[in-house]
Amino acid sequence: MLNRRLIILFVLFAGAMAGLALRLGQLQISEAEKWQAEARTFVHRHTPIETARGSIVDRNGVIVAQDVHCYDLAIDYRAMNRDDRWITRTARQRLRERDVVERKEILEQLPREKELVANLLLGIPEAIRQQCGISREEVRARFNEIHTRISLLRQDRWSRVYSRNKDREDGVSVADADLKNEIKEETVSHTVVPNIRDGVANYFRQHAGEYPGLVVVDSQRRDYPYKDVACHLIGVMRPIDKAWLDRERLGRNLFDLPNLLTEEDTGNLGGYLPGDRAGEMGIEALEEKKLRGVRGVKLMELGSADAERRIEPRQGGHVQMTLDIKLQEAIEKAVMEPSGKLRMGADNQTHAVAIVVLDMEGRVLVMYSSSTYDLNLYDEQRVELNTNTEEMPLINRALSAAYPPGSTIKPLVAAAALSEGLVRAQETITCNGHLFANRKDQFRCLRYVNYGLTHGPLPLSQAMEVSCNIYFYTLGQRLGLERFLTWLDVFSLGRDTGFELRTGNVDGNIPSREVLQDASTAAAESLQLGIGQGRLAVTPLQMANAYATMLRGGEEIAPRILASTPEVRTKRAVISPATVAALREGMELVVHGEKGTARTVFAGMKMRVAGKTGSAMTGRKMRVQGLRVDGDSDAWFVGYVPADKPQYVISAVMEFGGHGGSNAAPMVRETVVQMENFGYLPKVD
Amino acid sequence: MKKLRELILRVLTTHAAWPILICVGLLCMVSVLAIELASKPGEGFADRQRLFVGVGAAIVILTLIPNFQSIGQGSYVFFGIGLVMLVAVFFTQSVNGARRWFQTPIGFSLQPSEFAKITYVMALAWYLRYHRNIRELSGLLPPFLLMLIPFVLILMEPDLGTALLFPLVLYAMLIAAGAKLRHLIVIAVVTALALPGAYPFLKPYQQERITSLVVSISGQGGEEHRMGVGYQPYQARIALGSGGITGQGPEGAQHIKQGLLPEAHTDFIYAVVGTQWGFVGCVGILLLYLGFFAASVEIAATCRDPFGRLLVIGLSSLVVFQVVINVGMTVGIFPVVGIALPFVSYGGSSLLTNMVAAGLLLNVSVRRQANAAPAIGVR
Repeated sequence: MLNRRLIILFVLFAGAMAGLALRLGQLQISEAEKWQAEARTFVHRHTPIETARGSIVDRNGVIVAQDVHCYDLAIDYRAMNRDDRWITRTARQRLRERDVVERKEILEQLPREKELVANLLLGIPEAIRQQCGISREEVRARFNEIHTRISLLRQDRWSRVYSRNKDREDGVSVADADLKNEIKEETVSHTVVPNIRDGVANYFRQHAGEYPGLVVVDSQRRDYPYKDVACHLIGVMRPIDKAWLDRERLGRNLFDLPNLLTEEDTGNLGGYLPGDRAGEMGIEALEEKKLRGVRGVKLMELGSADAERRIEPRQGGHVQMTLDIKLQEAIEKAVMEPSGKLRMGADNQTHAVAIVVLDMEGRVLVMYSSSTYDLNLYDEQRVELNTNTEEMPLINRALSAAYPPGSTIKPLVAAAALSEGLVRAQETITCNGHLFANRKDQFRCLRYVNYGLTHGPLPLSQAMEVSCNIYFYTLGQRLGLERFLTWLDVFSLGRDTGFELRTGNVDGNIPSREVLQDASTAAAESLQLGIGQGRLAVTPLQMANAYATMLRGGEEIAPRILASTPEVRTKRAVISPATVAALREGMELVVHGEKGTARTVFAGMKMRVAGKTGSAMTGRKMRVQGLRVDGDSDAWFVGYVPADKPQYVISAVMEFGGHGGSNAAPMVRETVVQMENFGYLPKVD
Repeated sequence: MKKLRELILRVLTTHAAWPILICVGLLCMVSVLAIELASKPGEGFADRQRLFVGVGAAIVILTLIPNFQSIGQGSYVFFGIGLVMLVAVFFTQSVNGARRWFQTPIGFSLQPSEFAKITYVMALAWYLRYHRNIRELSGLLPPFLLMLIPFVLILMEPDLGTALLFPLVLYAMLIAAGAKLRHLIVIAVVTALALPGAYPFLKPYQQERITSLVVSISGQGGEEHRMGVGYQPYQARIALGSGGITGQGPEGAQHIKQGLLPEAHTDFIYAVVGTQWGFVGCVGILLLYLGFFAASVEIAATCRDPFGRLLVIGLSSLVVFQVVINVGMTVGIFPVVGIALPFVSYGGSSLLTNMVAAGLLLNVSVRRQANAAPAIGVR
């Protein structure tokens, strides 16, 4: 009886052990290979290898944007959150470093050490504030930003788990359970202050013991050696965030390590990791894909120093601009000189200006817009720059601001009228001071308005020289609105020129075709267009492009800033060589004729320049010290150089500058001088 | 001294004592080797375990000296002391959210639940030795109450794993003591049915471990699960499985060496055994424990004293239940509870407790015939 009971017990235990042995057999015999493979994946670590972003260079290979080494100040995520487990571990580590290894001693000293670590953590924001010179609020904001980033990442991880599991009935609950898990980013350091000074880096390295969890890490930053020169074109970088990813539809373009062990998972090394930066504006944004590069990955066995397999990172490609950064720098320097001479309008105030230089193949050699800002300081000044409504420094006025062209449109009007056979170059049109005999108060010539004088009969070249309004009202009248609109299209005015960068979607403004419905409005509109007023607004780049098209006999080459952009030629109309010659004669007279409107500005210059002045009434209000006041006319000069053999078209505008001849033309003169200095123009003796 | 030499000699000439000595000795050797593998250089766990084994050997000899029957006289007193300690431990500093240890001024920490295990078995054995009424259902009430007190106290520490051992050992002892199997089966079935009702009273992390087990057994644990709640048991299965039939798989060895399995040297030492010596080694260890239990059955069966008999069965089931739970948890069919593998897992408290148990077994084995107390126990 008793022995039977003992046997029952023995059999029960033997049975339990047999069951365990069966399970062991399953794990160690039938599934051995699977678990060995699993073990392999666990004793290996995939580590991303960072890549470097490509540089942006100018036409001569001068670097204008590059990645350079720097130090970042980073904090462990758990230290930031004063995670208790982390504090315990750190406290133990610190005791071990002080050779406290006895269990008893450790237990004795641990609570005190933990308290110490916790107190040190509290002092970190203050230390960052003192050393890096950023406010306490800013430090807190940056901590918050890291929090947000991690939660974004969690969300992403969750959605991926969810999508992997959603086909299973209980997929959601599995994903819910997974949400509790720590993700890798919660156990690593995150940058708080990027690009700290070497002294600050040294300080934190030497005082590492006082700031547990705070580390100085090697990093890279984007460096813009030319600071604010061509800032609008080069553009800036920004840290990616959810909004940006959504906008760029990069949600699926997140970084994912491939599994080099199984080779089944190809990952996405080109994707973005939270904290990555991407081009926000300008070429940095335009050529993001090419510049960015692809991270590499290496497979390391734990405890060994050599990588078993690796995919090398691919460095980002370089991007070349057609711009000459040094030339632009020289021009900018001249424009921005303290006296402000070149930016001075008729009202003796300085104004915003824009200068574009295109070569005859459509390449942008110079594109300057004031005000500018230092690209290296963009991050710190972001808010300021975005809210400065007076100067609006983020706007590239050469590209994204539209102005009425005023008289600078006259050569283009003449080109249209001559090509359409509505006027001959030698034909004279008489200026009586006003267009309509019975209306002396409207459609007047400036000479009549200002001095009560008239120009009398004028051929085309002289009409351009003196910028007679009556002559061009007449041409506008003869062209009529419909033909006028066709010719605006020939010159790509008021619409996209095909230029690669498009900031703000500003393409200018032209009268809509609906105006044609009303004959009298259409007639009045075509008169106004004849002198570049009315419902017309164009960008400085569009004007440069239109002049180049005219000089090439009607063939347009889309303006471009990247050396790699192919040349796109379009010919919407033919302007005969004889017509071009007649127009050039007129534009030369503007600069060199006795009565030329830009005569005095270019006097004494050996290099012959030709072009047309423009003083366009705006109707816009000007912001001065927060007040909106009536602005003077926009001052224009659009021309080309050399006059006898056009190589470059130059378009310059001064917002509310007053008079094209005296306020815009000086900028062009300076530009030509600098171009001569840089060897872009043949030496003239 | 002379008496001691005589005692040792008697142990060595007692045939049922030999398997106990061999099994425990081999397990201790495995222990030191496995801990060596599972720890990083400089941690010194293996050295300390060697020291514990030495101390344990001394304790075995010490427990041999008093007659087990005279020890039995003090059963209730020891049990009482054990309970007092279990209550006292609530007034200590909590470590990782649990109050299980006394910090002694000389460095090591003492776990009252370990002491309670032994005194509990002694008290039960002492109570059950002459009680015929356990063949009635009502007679089962006192032993169950005896079990409930330490069970609840330990559950509150909280230490679910250790607490579970108390009812299990009670069952084994009631079977051996001759309670009606019918009654025991009914109680077992009722308890089993009532268990799910206890689930809401568990701590969140305990619930998590149980759900995690369900998830992984049903094969639904995705990668995220494996990196989270299911991490430890999953790593244990990797270590175990990669050992193959004879062990020494390079992947597994590297896996252990890199410390990917947390608590490899304590609760999950069996996974290290699996990595190192494979299926053969794992089954070998199980056979050692079975041999240990078989020898205990032999001692109990031939013991004339009912207290000695029940003490032997109680102590050896205590050891074997720990084995079943620990191995079950390592191979992934039990939830993770903090139960060490007897004689093998690193840790002084656990090893010394098991050494006391082994010592008492030997104590009974050398005196089982001499103490010709009238065997009026259960017949």
